[in-house]
Amino acid sequence: MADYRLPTTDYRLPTTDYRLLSMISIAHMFFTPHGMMFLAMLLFLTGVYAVTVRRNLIVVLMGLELMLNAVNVALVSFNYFSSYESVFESGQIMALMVIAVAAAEAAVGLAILVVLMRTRGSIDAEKAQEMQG
Amino acid sequence: MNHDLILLIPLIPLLGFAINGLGGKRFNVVGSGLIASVAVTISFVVSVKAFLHVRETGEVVSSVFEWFEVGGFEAHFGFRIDQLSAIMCLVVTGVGALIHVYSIGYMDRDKNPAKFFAFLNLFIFAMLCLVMGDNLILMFLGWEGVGLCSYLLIGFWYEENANADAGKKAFIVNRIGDFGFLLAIFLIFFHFGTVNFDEMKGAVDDELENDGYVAGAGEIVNEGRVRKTLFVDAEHEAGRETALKSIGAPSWTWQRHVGLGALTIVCLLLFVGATGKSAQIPLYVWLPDAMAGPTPVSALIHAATMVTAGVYMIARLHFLYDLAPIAQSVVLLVGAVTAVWAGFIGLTQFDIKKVLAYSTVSQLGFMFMAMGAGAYSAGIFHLVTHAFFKALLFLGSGAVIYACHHEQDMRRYGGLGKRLPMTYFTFIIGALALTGIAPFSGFFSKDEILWVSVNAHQFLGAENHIFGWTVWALGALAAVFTACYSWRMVSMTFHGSYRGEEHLPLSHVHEAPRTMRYVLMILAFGAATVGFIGIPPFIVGESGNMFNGFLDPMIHTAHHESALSPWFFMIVTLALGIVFAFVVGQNFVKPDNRITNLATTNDVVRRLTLWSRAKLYVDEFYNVVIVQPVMWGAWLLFAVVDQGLIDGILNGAAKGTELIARAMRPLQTGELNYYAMTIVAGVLVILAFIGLDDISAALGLASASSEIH
Amino acid sequence: MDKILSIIVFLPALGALLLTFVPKARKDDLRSIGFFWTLLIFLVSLYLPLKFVSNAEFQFEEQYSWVDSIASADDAGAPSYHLGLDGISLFLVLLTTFITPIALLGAWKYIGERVKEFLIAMLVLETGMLGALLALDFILFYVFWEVMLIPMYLIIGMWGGPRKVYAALKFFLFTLAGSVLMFLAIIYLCSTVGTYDFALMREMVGAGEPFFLGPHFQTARMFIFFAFVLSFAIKVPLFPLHTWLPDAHVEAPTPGSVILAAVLLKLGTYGLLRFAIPLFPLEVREYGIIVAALAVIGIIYGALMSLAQTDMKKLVAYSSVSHLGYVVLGLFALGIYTGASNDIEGTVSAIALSGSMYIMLGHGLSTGALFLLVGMLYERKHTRLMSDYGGIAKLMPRFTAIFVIVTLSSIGLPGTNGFIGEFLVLLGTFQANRWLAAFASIGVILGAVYMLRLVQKVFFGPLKQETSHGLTDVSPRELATLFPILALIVIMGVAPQPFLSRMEPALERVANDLKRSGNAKVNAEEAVKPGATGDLILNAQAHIAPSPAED
Repeated sequence: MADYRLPTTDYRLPTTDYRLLSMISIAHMFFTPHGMMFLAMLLFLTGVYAVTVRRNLIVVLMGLELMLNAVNVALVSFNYFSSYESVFESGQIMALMVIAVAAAEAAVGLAILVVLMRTRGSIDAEKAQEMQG
Repeated sequence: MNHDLILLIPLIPLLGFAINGLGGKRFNVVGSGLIASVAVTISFVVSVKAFLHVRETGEVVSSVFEWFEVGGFEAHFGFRIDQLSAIMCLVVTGVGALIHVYSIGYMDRDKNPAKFFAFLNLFIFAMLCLVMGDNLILMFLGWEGVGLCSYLLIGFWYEENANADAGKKAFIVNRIGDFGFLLAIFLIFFHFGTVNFDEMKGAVDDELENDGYVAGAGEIVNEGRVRKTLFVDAEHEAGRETALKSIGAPSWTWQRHVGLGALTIVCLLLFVGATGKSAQIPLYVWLPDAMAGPTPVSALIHAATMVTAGVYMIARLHFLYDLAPIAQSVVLLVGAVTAVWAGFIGLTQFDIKKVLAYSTVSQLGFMFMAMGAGAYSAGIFHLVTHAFFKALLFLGSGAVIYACHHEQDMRRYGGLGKRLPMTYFTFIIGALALTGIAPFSGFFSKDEILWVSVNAHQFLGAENHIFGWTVWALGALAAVFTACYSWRMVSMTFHGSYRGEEHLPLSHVHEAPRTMRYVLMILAFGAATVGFIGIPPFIVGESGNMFNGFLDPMIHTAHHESALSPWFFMIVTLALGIVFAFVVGQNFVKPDNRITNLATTNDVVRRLTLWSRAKLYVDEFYNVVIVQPVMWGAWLLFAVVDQGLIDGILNGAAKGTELIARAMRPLQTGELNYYAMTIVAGVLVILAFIGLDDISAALGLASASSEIH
Repeated sequence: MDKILSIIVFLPALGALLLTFVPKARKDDLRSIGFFWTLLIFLVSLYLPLKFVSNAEFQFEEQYSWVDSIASADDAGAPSYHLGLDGISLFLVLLTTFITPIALLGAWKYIGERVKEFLIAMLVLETGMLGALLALDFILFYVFWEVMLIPMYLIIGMWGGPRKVYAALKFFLFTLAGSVLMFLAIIYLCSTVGTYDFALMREMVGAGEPFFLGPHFQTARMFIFFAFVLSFAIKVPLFPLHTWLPDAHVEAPTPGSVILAAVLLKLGTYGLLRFAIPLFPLEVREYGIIVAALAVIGIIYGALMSLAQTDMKKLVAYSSVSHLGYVVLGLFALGIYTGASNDIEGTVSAIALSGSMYIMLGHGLSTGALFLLVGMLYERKHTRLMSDYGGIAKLMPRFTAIFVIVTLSSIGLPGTNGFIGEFLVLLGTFQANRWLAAFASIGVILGAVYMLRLVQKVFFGPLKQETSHGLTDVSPRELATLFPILALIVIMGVAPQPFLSRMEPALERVANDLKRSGNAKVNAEEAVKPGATGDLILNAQAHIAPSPAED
């Protein structure tokens, strides 16, 4: 006996995902040069806060990454919005460069953290002050 | 004859140097001595051949090899044998060969004979470069080369500080002379555009002919005209002269003194070189010290050959001196004063070699007198005779020193004539020749010099009849001194009774080995007879004087006229020599005699003796005035200027930087967050300065965004 | 072999790379590799004099584009990789390749630890020196100039004596100060003139480019000229910028001293001769007397300083100040020419310049040898004070003979290389300015005084008993080190013509350019009309016209 079952595909119209819609529209609100700049600034300042105020070195590193990525956002968006005939898509390329550098930086930074943790048992910035004048 | 053959003359001794120098200790004294002697003997044989060739054909033999040539300046290894250098070559290689043979005996107890003979050969090579060079640069090579060998040989027994010091002193004092020589070369090249003797002479002759002057004794020549390359300067001078005259300036501002010009300066600078090498005032001080070297060295280098280089150089460049009367007067005066000065010091020395050294300085003074008087052949003649009799005396003293086991103090000699008959006999001949007693060689040459010096009737370019007599008087005084120190030396050494018994028993004193004695014999024969080649013309006529006749194509000897007969001067000097020789010789047989007693009783004589024995305090004077100030000045300069001032400023700057850094140290807290905060603050400050607008403008942000919206 | 210059420049660097693969512990292998590698480089460099043609042109030239982006930035000609050789650099290159293996051989035992690093530093240094000598592009020259600095700093600082850090820092700071000045001058000069290429710039001077010869730009020219002179003078070193030298020499290990004295100092004089003098003929005439006077002071002063020393190495170091004074004096001889006659001017400077070049080579050999010899004594006795020695000729006769020969070369005895150079410099200078030359000639006397004092104190006199221990005569290795130098000392003194005739055309060109500039200056001053100078511009980027505001 053949079991003629209906296909499991749901042919119903999709229901409106307002959550997603609102998110997209909020993103569209930002998707202007000024908005992106604002976004980048927000990210950057968050990073600055993490680097300057927090003592946990992991957070500091994360702050650094945030700052770098803020720059990335700026670069990419400028490139996108720019009408300047940029043949090489230089903003995108620069962003890729920054990502690469950031990766390297993170690797080195984390390595240092690991060593610091091993030697001192702490990754508190206040515990490493030998470099003072 | 093949012209390149003359290259053998310097090159064979160089080969000898190479063999002995590289062979090192493989050769014993006989082996190395034979190599060296044979080398010099071959040179001598070739020299004789070249000499005969020049004598027969009158032709100049020359051979030139490239040395260097840059920007119009040429200096080549150009060797030449003409009348003058032929004579010099004969003396250098002839006397040199004899002294080499002598050294085989003298150096038999030395540890390092190969080194000694290598240096001797090198010396012969350098000396031959000096006399055979056809340009000033090759002459300078020889000039410095002989200085080097002299340095090495004086300090041959370097284990004693005094010897090494003496060598150093000789080299440095010579360098002071070389400084003058170098400047003279520069000046000559500046004016002549060449350093070749023939070309220089050609330039001088051209100029003289063009201006209608004829070179001759006493002829006043405006030597500014001799300048070949610098007519511009001459014109400039002339213009200056006219300008100064027109504004009525005093005459001394524009008048060009005849003779005081470039050539005078050249000749004076050359003479500075000559005073160094030929030990004249003020640079003679190295020669007495140079007696620290082995005695054959003293004979060869510091009596017969090297020290005569200055005399040779003036003879070689006589065509310049002929045109520079002021320089001639200076040469004459310095020569005369040196002759007296050194003779005076020689009177009271006790070291037998020191006596001979001062005697050499004094005799060189005689030679320079001849040069200054323009009687170049007379000077060269004295050079030749002096080479024989002074080499003989030095080697004789060497034989005595050898016999007395390196004792040089004459106070410990006495009565050695009986123990060393051969040395005694030859030494007497040398002393006779040195004193100038007829018919020994020194008589003819010294007599000629004294006679020509009377005829010097120009002083510093101006007519002056007293000058000649003054110089003659000085020369005669020096001749008297010569007689005195010579016979004092002979008597103290060979006559009387032996005084050195407690140091060395007389029975231990033995005559020198055969090689040394034979050499003494040959030299004695030369010292006795070599004078006959230059018998004065007033005795045998112009043609009878072979020496002047031979040199004539090279150096023309002018005729001298004087108020008094030459016989007068001859008899006066001869009489003076004989009398003083006899008196002093008689007295100094005993240590306490009338003369030494006079020195204790008479205050003036005592003081003179003191000064003479102290060598007139010249060394002390130089030490205080030159040596110490230079050394202390150098120290002071180093401590105060170099370390204190220059380095002080620099280190001060470094210190200042450090201080600033230290002041700023607290800023480095070591806190990571603090640093980050500072960075942010810095960025904010910069932003505030530039202004955000400017930044956006700089980035093109404003224009980019305005296009979108 | 059209890339021979690049091969020679980078062979040492390749050697350094090779050495990194050799294990640290195999010290003798490392030394052998280093020595034979540098020897190989010397043999390769012998190709240059064989194929060299005696003319004033650059030969074996190589030019590749390098950093073109700088050109797009400011419209100037781009820095290029441009190498070339002429009579001036030929023998200095040979000296470099010749002295490096000798320094390594001489320092076989002297460097006992960190041999690998040391050899790498030496090889990199050699690349730097050769590159600086061969570079015809200003930026390239500057790069190589700085490349030299670091290894030398390390050599002094790591293998040096007790005050090595002080000495190394002093050396570094002095030279760096000079470098910075030079860099500014290069940037300004090149961006104004519009090219980074020296050969091109020289053509422009020859063609009367107004920037170099015109009445405008005098202030700018003066600053550039003095920046160049100052930076090179520090390296020379010229009085009163010399105080780093004694410290560096005393502290540096023997091979470092040898290289420093033989080649590095010559790069200062080379820079003057290559860049400062041909490019600024008017400034040489105007301010040459200042430099020449400093040089003469340096001659006398250095000699007096040598006289005051107790440390052998310091004495030799100060003698370098004196000797290089002669070099600088010869280089600026034409600048101090006071006579009116124009026709002997060429003679003057050709003689003096040849003399300077010859001293550069001669001093490289003789002072290099002196440092080696002092180093050998130090290895035996571990002291450099003269008073600790005395009478050692008895124990070391052959060593003494060698030392005396080198001394003779150093004091300029005829028949050695020292004489030819010193004589030519003084002769040429004398034709230009007799008082300066006469004053400088006093150095001839003082030179003999301090060197003979050294010889006397160390080698002659009675043997000090306590010093005799361990003083053995030269070993075969040391003899092999010294013999080539000795041979060259004599050869260059007796047969200088092969050397002189190869360097002369290039030097004559410098001299003639200088001479012409005298006339050019007169012309330029007469024709102050702006249009008149316009035709003279021979400019790669002709649109860079002189701005009138620059007056």
